[in-house]
Amino acid sequence: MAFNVPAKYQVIPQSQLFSPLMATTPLQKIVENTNFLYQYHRPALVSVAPSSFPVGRASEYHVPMSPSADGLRYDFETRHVFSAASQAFTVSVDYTATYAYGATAWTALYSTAYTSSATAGGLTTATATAIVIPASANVLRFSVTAPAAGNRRDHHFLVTPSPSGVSAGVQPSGFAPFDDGLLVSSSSAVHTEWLNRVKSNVGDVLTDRHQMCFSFVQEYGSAMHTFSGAEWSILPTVRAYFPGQKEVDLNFRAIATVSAGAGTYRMRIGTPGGSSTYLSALTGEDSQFITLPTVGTGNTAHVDLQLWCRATAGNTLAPYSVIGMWRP
Amino acid sequence: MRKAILKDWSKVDWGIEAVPEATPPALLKYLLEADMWGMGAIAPYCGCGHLADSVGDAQVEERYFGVALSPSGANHLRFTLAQSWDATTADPTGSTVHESWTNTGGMAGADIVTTAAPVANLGNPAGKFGGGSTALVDTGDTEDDAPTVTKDRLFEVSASLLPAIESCKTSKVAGFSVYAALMTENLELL
Repeated sequence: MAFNVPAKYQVIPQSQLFSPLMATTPLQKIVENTNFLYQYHRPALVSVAPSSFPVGRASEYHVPMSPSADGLRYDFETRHVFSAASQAFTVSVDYTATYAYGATAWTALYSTAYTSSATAGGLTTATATAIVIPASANVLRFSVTAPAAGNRRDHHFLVTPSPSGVSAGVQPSGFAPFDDGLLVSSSSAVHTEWLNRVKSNVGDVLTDRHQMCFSFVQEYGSAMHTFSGAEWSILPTVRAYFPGQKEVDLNFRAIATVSAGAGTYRMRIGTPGGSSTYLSALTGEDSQFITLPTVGTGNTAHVDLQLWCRATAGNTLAPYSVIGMWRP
Repeated sequence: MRKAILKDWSKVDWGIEAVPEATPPALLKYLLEADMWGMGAIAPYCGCGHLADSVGDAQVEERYFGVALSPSGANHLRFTLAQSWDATTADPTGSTVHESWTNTGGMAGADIVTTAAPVANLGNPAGKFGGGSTALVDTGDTEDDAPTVTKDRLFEVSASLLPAIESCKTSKVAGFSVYAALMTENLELL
């Protein structure tokens, strides 16, 4: 009796699927594959490429996201380039359940010291593994310290799930692990429960792990791009891919400030010439949902996304973070 | 011969049981449907659209990033690059192409994938971020894993039934995204 997680996804040959009217062997593999999914479904919770000048100072970035309800472990990869070789630096990540800009109370997830590439201008990838993000977390803060010499540019932050395995009991996400002792005998009864559990477990895993589908992130408190006046500024269109999807329900979230004037409806995001939703610079982060149709088929099914920004007359908008999350 | 299934999840009602009858006949279709859920779940993840400035400085026009790959057997990727330029501004590095790579495909010499810019004199993207001219361009769709010269082609990644993170680079973009362009024809062989 054990919660077996296959070493890789078990692809069942068609001959095994079509030969039996209903046999335990292929079904056993199919249900075990849901345990595999629980451990190895690892889409990007966070995938942001910060827009920032090369800086010689410490920087921080505030990124909204929606972690798993199961309090999973996550792996972090941050990529940086330093103009000088072998610079000592530290990456720290904190979370909060209640975002309030400078007044936010942060809780530490990790703080790790690294040394940059021995080649000036070379890529440095800083990793931290098996970091638990509580289900209550709502916004992450990435902090990177200043190099002693030269400057630093932050290229990309990637956060992916890395569950250690499958635990007994129904998880908060709804996932019910499969105990391989239940179907191990060739004469075991095939209950409809196993067939139903496959669908429910797949749904629980897929819908619990949000995937970042859009990101525009700038240094908090020192945005490289700010927008003045009441006219809309249109930023370049980017394409987000949703393989196999005909339409997608997206959750857009924003952290932004205005120098003065109304903060409502300062950002607009959607498809060029199509549907869009408005986001505001509020006292906390803003969050809006929108359903968008995709274009294309198969792996190329996609949505083109365009971000518009504006302030009010005589004032300035600083969008620090605008992100989109998708889940099936 | 089995490939990952691309399932339109927006049409799925997760609240409906796969087999609503308590004691159904042992039909093959139930087994096939159960298998389909897992095969659909390993399909490629969504390809995040990153809006990101490549600052106008020779050192930092490049953009390094990592991409999460699902256990779907994808073996080649393609990038979609967002371009933003001011044709009146000279290119600070003199190059008129985007240079990109994946770690698996190789990061130097002829392994670098070069994608032409839409104008002969590619401007500094940073200068017109939020304005000027913009476009989306896909990197090449030619499969050539051993090129002798740099060209516009598909990016190699290792096909696997385990998830992975691929280290990548592109340059001179105002945004980028990645999708799985080619899949392993028979996952039974992985």
